[in-house]
Amino acid sequence: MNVLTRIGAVIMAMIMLVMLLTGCWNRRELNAISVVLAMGIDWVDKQYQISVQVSDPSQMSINRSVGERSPAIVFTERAPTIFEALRKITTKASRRMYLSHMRIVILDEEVAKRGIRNPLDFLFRDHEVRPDFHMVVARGCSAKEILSFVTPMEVLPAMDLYKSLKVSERAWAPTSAVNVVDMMQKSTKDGIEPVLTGITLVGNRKKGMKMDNIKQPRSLAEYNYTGIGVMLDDRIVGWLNESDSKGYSFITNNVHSTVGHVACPDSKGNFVVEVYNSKVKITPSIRNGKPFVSVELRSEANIGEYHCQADLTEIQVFSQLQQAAREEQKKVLENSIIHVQKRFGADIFGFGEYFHMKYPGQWQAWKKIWPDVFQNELKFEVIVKSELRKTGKITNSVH
Amino acid sequence: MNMIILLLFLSGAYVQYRALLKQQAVRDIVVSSCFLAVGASFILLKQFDVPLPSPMKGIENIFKPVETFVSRLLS
Amino acid sequence: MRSEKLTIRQMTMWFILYQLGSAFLVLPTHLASVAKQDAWISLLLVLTVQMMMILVYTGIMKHLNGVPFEEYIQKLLGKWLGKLFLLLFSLMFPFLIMSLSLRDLGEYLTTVIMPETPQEAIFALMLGAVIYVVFCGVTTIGRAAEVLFFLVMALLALGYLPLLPTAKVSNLLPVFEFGWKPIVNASFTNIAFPYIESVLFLYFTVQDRKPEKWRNVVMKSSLYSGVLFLYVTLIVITVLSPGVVSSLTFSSYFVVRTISFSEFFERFEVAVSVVWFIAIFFRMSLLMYVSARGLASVFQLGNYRSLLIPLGVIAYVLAGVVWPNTAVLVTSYRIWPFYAMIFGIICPILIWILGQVKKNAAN
Repeated sequence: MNVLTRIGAVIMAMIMLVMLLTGCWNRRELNAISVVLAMGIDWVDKQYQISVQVSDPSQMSINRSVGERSPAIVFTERAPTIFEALRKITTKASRRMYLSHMRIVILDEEVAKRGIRNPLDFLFRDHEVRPDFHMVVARGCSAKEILSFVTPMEVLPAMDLYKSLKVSERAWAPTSAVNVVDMMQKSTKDGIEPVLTGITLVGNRKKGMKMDNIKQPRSLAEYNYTGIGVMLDDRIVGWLNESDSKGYSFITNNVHSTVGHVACPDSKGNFVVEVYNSKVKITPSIRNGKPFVSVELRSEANIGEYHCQADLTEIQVFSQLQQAAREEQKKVLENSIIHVQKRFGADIFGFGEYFHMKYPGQWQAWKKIWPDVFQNELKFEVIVKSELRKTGKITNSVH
Repeated sequence: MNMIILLLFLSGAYVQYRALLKQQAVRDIVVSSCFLAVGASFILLKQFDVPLPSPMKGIENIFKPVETFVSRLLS
Repeated sequence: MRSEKLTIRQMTMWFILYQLGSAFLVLPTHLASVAKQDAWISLLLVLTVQMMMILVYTGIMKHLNGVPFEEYIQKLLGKWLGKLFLLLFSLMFPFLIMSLSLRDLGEYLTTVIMPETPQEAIFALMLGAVIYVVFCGVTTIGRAAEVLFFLVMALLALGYLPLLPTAKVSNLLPVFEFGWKPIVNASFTNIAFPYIESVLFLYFTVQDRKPEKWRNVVMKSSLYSGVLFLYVTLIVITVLSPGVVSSLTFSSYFVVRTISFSEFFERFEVAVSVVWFIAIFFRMSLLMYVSARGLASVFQLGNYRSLLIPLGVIAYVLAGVVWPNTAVLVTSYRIWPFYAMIFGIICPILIWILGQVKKNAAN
């Protein structure tokens, strides 16, 4: 009898445990949530307009009929704050938006100019949102248009945007993928200002939002990651062109691999330098009470394309080319720093943080007025110590 | 909600008291039921939304001057 | 009757898990907001103070000579004064901390993982588990600690080792930027929470009653958990800069959220938060055991087990009441060290001095 009661008690305990472990209180059934892949924040009519791109699970399977339903759905809603707008979307959508897998957040240029602190407050505070999404600013179009865009390569446009951003960051220096954790860190530090990448749409936008966009090899409209936006405090104050963006990426050690052309030292053509390894060392110092920064760039590069006449196998030609490449890099970096300094006065390179680390006493005096000090008093020098190594499969051009 | 929890705890106490009675541990039962009565009254008060005082408030009032003194010393 | 023996290994592991409890999640935030990037130095300071206090506790242990702590108190202070002291001590120190730990767990779960669950449900389930395990006796808890310890260490390694590549040592510079005052200020909270609570370890005796062995157990567990805290604080500050850490409520949880390798080793932070569940469980079981034993000795009950359910009911209500909102929580974290130091530093020193005086008088 005792054994039977024991077994009965154990079975009762197990049943109770299973009932308790289902976590019923905060349940979210899978068919009651929509996974949001991208979010767009616009400023329209003095209100925030939120667009979310969700994936349609039925269209993601292999046996789907292409061209019938779009794989991604975009919902938009307007409200004075972002949290309200997200909840309001439930009046249009049959499911609740689930933000944990968000990949990319697109801000309007208006929002970026007014300040991104308020929109981002919700994204940092909500418990569902993870800090691993990227942020970009839409230039010349609204975030809603970018989200509604049909992309050629991936089924889900948000994934296309995200992957393109990541790949581009590794392969082309002027693009910089801004992660949220970086953005948070740079916002709280006094000596460095955050940046944001820009995205724009080229081509016929109206047709780009239809499936016709991908029905022929050449898309009717496409998106394009353009330059880097300089921010002061939390507002966008301007944009950098391609060369300056490249300089920014070099100085902040964000370059994995990039490509640039240099004019031939002896003839009219260009040759292309492919940088595959780059490290910048920044040494701050104080001269006459004014801040001085020495930027030392060490990179290793290969020759990717060669349109010049000289013979690549000769040591002298090689060192001439190396010197030309160094001059070019030095010019790019110097121009980048000068333009940012004179036009915006925002220390996006983080020189202030280096002073903070090395001269904490002096930094206390400069902390509050650093944008001013950066713009007017900071002097710098750029030392380039790059090396050219290989020439690829062929040495001289075939002719 | 609270009542269900109270019922669960009371049933656990009932099972325990039966075993204790068999052992003739009168003192245990008396003390334990005193505490249980205090706890049950707390739950009932909570059920009827009577605001219960928090011990942290008492601690805060007593130690706030110490804390301000120390933080002024060390700031 | 159920046995009450703990092996040294089990004791060490239980104490380590106890000290990892509530402090593990909240501490980096508080340290970084006061001491900024020097938070790790205040941890070193805390460990030094803890080692000194362990010497005091060992002194008391030597006086104990195998007698259970609560009987010794009554012998030392006389019957009625000792009972009064024990009553106040048990109710105001271990019992209150247990309710605070329970509330911490509820706060954490409802803030980060399941916001729509009422906290009472979490309290009831956790209390049920804790009451049952303390009912089963210390040996059971020791064995559970032995088994779950490795799970906890594995999860901690899984959560915090992958953060090393993203750590930037430049976030720790400049060192001593604001001097030593913020460091000492920050160390107050850490001393009280959890290290001063080591005074409760006096309730546990080692099998062959040697104070040196007990001292080794406590020292080893304090050092081990201290090193873990140091590592976690360093990682949290180097991965997220001190400015970010001071504005996060649960920074050690948040930092695990940022792990992302090759787009597949990511998003497993809830698995790491199981660590915290287990640590709070062992913390609460130790505190429940200590308060039940103390109170049972006050009323001269034969067995502390009869008090477990009433204490659980009171803790259930108390945990819901201790603070109404987050602002009160932050303020009480600042004030708590001074309250805890009365029980953790002043009381043990007094007991030790009294014991020394009595021993000299006896000789």
